[in-house]
Amino acid sequence: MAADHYGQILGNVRSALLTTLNPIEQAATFPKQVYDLVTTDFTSMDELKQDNQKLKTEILLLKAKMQQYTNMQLEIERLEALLGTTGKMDSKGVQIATVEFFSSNPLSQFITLNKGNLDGVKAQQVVIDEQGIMGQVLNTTPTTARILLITDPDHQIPVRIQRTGQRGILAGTGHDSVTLNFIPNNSAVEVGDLIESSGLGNVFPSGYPVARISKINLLEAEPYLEIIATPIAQLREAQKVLVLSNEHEVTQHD
Amino acid sequence: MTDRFIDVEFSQARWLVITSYLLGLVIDTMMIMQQGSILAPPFSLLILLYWTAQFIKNTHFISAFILGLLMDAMLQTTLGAHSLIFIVLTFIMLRYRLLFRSHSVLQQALVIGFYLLFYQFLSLVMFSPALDEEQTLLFWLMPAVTMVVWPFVALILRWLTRTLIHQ
Repeated sequence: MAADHYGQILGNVRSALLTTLNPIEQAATFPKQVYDLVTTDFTSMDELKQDNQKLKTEILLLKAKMQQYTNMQLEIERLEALLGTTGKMDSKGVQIATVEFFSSNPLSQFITLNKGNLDGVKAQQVVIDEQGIMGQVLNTTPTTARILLITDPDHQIPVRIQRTGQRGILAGTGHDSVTLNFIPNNSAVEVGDLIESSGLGNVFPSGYPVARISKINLLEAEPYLEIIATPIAQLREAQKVLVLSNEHEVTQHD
Repeated sequence: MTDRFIDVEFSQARWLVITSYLLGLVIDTMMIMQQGSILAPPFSLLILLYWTAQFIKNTHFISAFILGLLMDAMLQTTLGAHSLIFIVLTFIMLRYRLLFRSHSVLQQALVIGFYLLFYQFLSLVMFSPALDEEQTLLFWLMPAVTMVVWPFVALILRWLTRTLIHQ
């Protein structure tokens, strides 16, 4: 227990146990898969056509945004060159994965993806959905990966408030919310402010949206505010997610 | 001894025991996907306690250790923590299993309720689960749910033992 709690010595043992549990998890999710299959078969053609049309429109909009993004990336590179800074603009490789299993118990909050060691997924890789950061890879087996969600009580992520740039640590609560720690009482934070990853610690990439502030409590005896935030990513609903590569595909240095 | 447990050797029912453990793990895995999972008892532990009372020539510590490790991997808790809890409860059952066997199924349910209350207490001390008010109530209601579930678990396992092994 001590070896597992204080170190990573038993990481391989845990991976072996998770590999043993894979067929059990598949058996446990089988009834749900059958239910989904049956209900999907009854989806009408009209609904599928509408979905198809909606997706085509979405792709068009995203392509347009992508063009803007490319222009912005070039602009940033040009400005960095002018300023003579050593800034980096990273473009990360991604892998699409499907959520196979999820846990919603008060001991841990995690999801299991259908990509593992054999697909090149490694521990500490970051997982996002179309909205924002979901968590990071904790353990891998040959065919699956377990992702610790940002709402897990043991999970912490260095962040900054997008509007003010103030840095803090976002910790999970074990429920559907997160808390933003180490923001002093005199800070200009507001309900609705967006919290994004700060990139400190070199695990989470900088600039990805993580949560939105939903409640601020001023505790008189404490030097820091109590800030509750709601994750932006759809932690419970997401089916397809992206696993960000740890290796930087494009790294610009001046 | 009463007729509440069937007189068979462990070696005769080994495959049934292993299958029941696997089934218990599948049910536990299904439960952790549910929002109300906090109210559901650990079925693998209930099955372990049943077999501990059923086969009095074995200690079942190895089964308790392995099942505990798998529960740790399943719930992402410290490896060995659930093993320790399972072994402690198995040890208590070993001490009192002859008395336990003499009880009726309903009396057994009451005893198992206390076992699970102790399980919840150990879980609370070792894992400090993040519980809000409603979840705290459900957390302490779980032993009561176990008392309702136990007769079904015991009767099903007894029926399977009688049908598949004892003939």
